[in-house]
Amino acid sequence: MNSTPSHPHGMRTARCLSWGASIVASLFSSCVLASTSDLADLTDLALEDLLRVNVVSASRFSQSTTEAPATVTVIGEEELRQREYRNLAAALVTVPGVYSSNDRNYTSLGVRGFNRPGDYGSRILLLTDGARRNDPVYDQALFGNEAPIEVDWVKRLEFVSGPASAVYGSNALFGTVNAVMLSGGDINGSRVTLDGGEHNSKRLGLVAGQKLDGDKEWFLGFAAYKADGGNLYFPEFDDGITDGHARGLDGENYQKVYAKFSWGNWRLTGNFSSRKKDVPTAWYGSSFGEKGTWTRDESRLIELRYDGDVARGWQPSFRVFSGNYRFDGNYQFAPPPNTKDRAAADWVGSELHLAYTDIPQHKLMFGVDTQWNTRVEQRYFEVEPRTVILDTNNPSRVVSLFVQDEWRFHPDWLLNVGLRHDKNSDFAAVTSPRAALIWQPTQRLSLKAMAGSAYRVPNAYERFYNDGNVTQAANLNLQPEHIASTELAAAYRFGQSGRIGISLYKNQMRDLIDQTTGSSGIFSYTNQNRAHARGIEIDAENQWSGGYRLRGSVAVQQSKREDGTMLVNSPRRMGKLVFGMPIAIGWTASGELLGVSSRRGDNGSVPGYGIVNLSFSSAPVARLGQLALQISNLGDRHYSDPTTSYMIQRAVEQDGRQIHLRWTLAL
Amino acid sequence: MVARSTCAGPWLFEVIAEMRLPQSLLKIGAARALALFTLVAPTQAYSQAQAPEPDLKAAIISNMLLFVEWPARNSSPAEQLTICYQGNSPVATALIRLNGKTIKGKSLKVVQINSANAAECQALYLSPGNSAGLDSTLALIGPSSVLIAADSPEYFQRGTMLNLELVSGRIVFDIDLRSAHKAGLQVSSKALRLARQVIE
Repeated sequence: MNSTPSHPHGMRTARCLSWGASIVASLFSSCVLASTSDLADLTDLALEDLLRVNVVSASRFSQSTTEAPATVTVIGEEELRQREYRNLAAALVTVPGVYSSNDRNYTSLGVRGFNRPGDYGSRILLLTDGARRNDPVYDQALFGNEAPIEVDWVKRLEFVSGPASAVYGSNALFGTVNAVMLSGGDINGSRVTLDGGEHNSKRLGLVAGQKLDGDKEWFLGFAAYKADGGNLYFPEFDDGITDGHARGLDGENYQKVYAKFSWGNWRLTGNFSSRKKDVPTAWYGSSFGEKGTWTRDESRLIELRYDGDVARGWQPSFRVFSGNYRFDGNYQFAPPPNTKDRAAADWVGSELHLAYTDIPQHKLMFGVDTQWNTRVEQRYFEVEPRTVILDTNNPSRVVSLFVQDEWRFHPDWLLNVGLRHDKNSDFAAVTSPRAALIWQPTQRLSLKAMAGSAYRVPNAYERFYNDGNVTQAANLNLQPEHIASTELAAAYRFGQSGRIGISLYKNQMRDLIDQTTGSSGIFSYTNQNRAHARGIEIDAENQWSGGYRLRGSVAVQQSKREDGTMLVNSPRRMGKLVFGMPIAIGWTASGELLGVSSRRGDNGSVPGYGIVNLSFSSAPVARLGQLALQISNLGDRHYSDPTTSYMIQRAVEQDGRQIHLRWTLAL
Repeated sequence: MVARSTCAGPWLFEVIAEMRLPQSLLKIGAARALALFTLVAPTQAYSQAQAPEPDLKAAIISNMLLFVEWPARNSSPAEQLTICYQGNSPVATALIRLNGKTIKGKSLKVVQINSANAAECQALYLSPGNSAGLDSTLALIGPSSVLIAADSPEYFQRGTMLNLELVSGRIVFDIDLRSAHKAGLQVSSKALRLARQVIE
């Protein structure tokens, strides 16, 4: 009976050298910030005038973004603090071309028209401060409340669209998310947050940190959340046997900790998260309307990292890490026996990266990454009496080499080429290239042409999981899937922080790993033929003095299989508008309008929707703190996400209007 | 002047208004929201001269060349000023972008160098983050009559001549005349008057 869609993570991790934790900076080694003002104008000023010019903090549109060999969206600290997105997914759906699907357990993200059924984020790579977070069993990148981190702890959130296997290896197919975490110096004190709202939800958050003398810094984030959840109605189960109502079966709780200590060139990071969710949807044929079907995801990561100084042009950086992931799934069946899933993964790994900058006009980077997945265990068994149906352990290891060069062959031209070679113990080696040509004809305009390929090895769940062939079968012959992508992009920057961009892309996938259902009704993961997508994204944003900001995008795409049929869960059009503005007496308003067109699903189509989320925050008052009112789905629109073959529902309705009140006190 | 009062706001909205918005977006009233924003968004962006820190530092370094006299043995052609840099940093990138620019009738050349061949440089900017190699770099360049600039206070204590620092939202500079004189450089009194600190 059931399986457990859970998550994925993979292996190696690549990241980058020390110049800041920004992906863009570190990974792509374009570690330079630049400017939106006209530098040429500055040089015409007299020295005494130059000394009078006020310094603005580097624009969000740092040159690293313009010079990155990909289209990058950055959600900055100001927006993250003001808007207080409830989780990573809520923030990431504001990125052009990104949309989410929630099955009332996990939130998966789709990018540029791809969000395959039964995929819980395995085609997006999640990094926290550059460290890979997808797990080795399900490859899952967790973005909803189940994510390993809280938005509260993030300084900036970067989304890199397109394939990045040339830098990161497996999983970086459609996009890479890097959460640049806060450091002690960003806090220098502490803040406590209490949050409560709909369905008796309560959250306690603590963030503390300090920059100390002697180049030391510490940061600590803690959060605990609990919600009873609402009552849900599924017409498919209003069948005379049950009345279709799932009452009190949507509860959730989580606890998360993130701690970081850095001294000099060294940094030690630890992260733990555990999220438990009741599953109200009767997935995998479990009984409807009864308590007892729930899942728990736990992840841990410990990382020690060293970022060296430059010595004769060389700059070394290395990290060693150890991670664990545990999945606990419990399924209630009528008639019994009930069943349980247990998945466990342990891994250790290291990365050594070297940057070399002593060849004029070149920035070179070399890296060796390794990851040993020492334990990749999946068990499925019936309880009372205990009957083991699946008990498998499939350790693996990956060794990777990569090289990258950023060649500024002319002051206005940059060529970025990267090549990565990954050898996974279970599969033939894969080499992933990427090239980007970037032309900056003026200080404000940049044009990019990019091409690259990426891949993902099938995860242990897709290859080995079966529940005794009741609903799901294993497929030991599953092979890696590949994507080849080309993209043309243009960006024009105006004023101090304005930007307008356009991007045209084409993605071609082959050997796409997809959930397919055989004639007996049992599904398994198989390599499919080709699928391709092409689309266009237009985005614009600006910030004005006085705290006004606006960010918007429209995306149009078409994704088809080789036989001409449209992909499921692939909206043709998306529109987003994100804003922040002062209102009165120190209060600010922020929010977003999100529009997604209709989507096909395995079990039926869902209509498009448009929702509005709004927040109002007071100015922080000493000793009294700051108050925020958050209203999601303001118009109380009914909208649904498509489902997949592990459910019988046509669609899963999403939350209506939700109101939360948040109080934050800085100490 | 840098302090252009950019009226980017209305321009942005014109562009957005001209885009063909998909139905789904129109349905949710985005167009109305945009229209509303056009009314409320402030049109005056900046009232004061502002610039990013790296740009400002790069501009000050290049400007400083106008206040320095090099001994005749410096090998660069008279109609050209050469700024060299080492390492990668935002300031180095801002300098690269000045390459080819004309300053007071002289064309500016910006090149990355190894410590050994600094002879062609009028000024050399040292990116932060190479603390370990600083002493050997300074020793190698020592005899070359180059204005050595950096924006790391520690470097200044160890022998660079021009130090740039961000103080209260503006850039200030310090000059170490002892090391400048040792390299045969003369710094004009006007620049010295504008300096925060002159070490003699």
